[in-house]
Amino acid sequence: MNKLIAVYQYELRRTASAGRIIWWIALASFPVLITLLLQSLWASAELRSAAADNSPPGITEQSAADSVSAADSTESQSGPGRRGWGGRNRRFDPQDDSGRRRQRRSAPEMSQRPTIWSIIYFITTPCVCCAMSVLLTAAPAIASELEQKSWSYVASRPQGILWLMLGKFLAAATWGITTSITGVSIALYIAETDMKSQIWTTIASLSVLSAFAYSAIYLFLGTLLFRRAMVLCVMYTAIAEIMIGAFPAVINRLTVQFRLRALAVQWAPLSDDFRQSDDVSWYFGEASSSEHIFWLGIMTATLLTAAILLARGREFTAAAESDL
Amino acid sequence: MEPMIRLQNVTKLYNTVLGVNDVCVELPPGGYGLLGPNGAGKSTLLNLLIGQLSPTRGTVTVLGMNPRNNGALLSRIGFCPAFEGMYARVSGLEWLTYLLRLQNFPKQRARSRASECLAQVGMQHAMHKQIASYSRGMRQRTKLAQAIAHDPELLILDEPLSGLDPIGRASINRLLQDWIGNGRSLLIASHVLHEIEALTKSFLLISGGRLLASGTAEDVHQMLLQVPMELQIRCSDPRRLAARLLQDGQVDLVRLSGSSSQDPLTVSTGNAAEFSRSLMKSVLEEEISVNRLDTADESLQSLFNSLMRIHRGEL
Repeated sequence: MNKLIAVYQYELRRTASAGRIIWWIALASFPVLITLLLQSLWASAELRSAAADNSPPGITEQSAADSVSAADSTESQSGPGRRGWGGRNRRFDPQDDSGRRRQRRSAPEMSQRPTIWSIIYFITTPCVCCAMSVLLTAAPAIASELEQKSWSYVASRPQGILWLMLGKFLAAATWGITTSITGVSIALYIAETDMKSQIWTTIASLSVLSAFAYSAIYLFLGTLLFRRAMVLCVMYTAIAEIMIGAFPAVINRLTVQFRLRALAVQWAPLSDDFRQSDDVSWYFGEASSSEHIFWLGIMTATLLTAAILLARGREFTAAAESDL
Repeated sequence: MEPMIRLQNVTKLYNTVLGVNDVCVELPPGGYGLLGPNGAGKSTLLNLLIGQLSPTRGTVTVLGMNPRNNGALLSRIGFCPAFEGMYARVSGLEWLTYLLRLQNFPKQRARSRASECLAQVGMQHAMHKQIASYSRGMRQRTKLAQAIAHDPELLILDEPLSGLDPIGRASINRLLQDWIGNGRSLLIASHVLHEIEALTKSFLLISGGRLLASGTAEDVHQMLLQVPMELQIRCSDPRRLAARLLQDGQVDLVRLSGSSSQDPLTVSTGNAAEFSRSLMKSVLEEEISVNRLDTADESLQSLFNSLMRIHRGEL
């Protein structure tokens, strides 16, 4: 344990460069900026809506058009699509023009906001902030040691590679967790919504799970192909996590994204309409939270073990190439 | 006595490129120099010994154990690689403390031991400064400190003296001489012979991945008695001396660089002892004055050159 603490502390200290801290701030700011943007759009929409309600008929059309424009941009960023935030039971009706105009003209009601913020923070925090932060730390873990030729010093210590990999894994997870939790904490402080503590708990928990799972994945990929670690990790994220993770097929169960989305649906304060819709039930199945956490744990442990075994088995020596 | 290092038919291939080729050697505990030009396979051999590489063929045994991923063995070995590879943004003391903690030293003990070792290599004044600010010589000393800090039985050093100024070189030499004098083992790789000569008389010569010779300087001298050797003679009448030496039959080859008496005469002989007797007799009888006789036979350099030339098929 002394060795693990030594590597962990040293890795945190070593990776805390000015560039890395700027990235940390930028990533932690992401959910905060999204929150500020949406809050201002909604505030603006509410003001225009109120103005339109109290204005003579001639002015109303222009105000309504502005409000429609603002509401459009809000919806397109926050992502529930044409179904609206109420879930699949709320269908778009082209005949119901008054309802549509009312809905578009105003900001979401307070009762809908926990659902909206939960979805937004799920996307921005464990999926973007956390994964990106971990990617920047874990993917080049081996390559950075080899590039600066510091590998030999650690590898020539008893079980040095094992402790180095575990320390780097924990350091990468720490970067991811701190980025996410800082970001979501500030964002929720700003956000005007109910059930803040439940949203925070959900997002923080998912961030922790995401940080450990992605650290193991990126560390494994970085060990597998250390010369092109970042490219491989970005490709993996785009193809496996985003594309395959979205397939409504059994293969998506092998992705971290599927497990995180399933847990988000179970833990986040989403509207009952959304949670109980047929699509959601069909997509995520009947698995319990503990089952999803179990599989995330298995994935993390398996990939971390594979990364350690790979690093121990491969001959990473800077001298090997320069000597020839 | 159990050998400190045993290599049995060790071959290391990097895909199709040969790192070391069929190396067989047994070394009892002591101090050894590993000599060879750049690219000879020295670093490959050292990496095989510390287990960072595994042999393609053959077996490597260090202190009676297979070194590959062997934690128990690695705690008994101190390794100093040729390249720097230190983290630039931490101090020498922090870096050494970190590496000692990886040797399972508790934090406080690691720090005090790191401080002690840095002082031992003359880094007490700079141990709190960032490594980025260190000169080449300071980095070499810090690297050496990390190798000796956990008090290993066997010290494996790859070019530890390169970049050191003469004072630094002398102080590190003293430290390494004390190390060997205290009965501990050392294997030091270098391509500069005089670096090794000051430390040990036992060495291994390696080139092109092959071990050319091993043993003491005397062992190799014995080998060289049977090996052609070149000498350069500056004398008052090189043509007459060349003719006389050829007549006596103790030279395999004579070469005159020019027609002037100032030009040197180069001779090659297969029997140095007989040649020296013949040369003395010839210069006395022919009344030729010898101004200068250049031979490197007192230096390891001549052994190295000759073995390399044999290996290349030039002799």
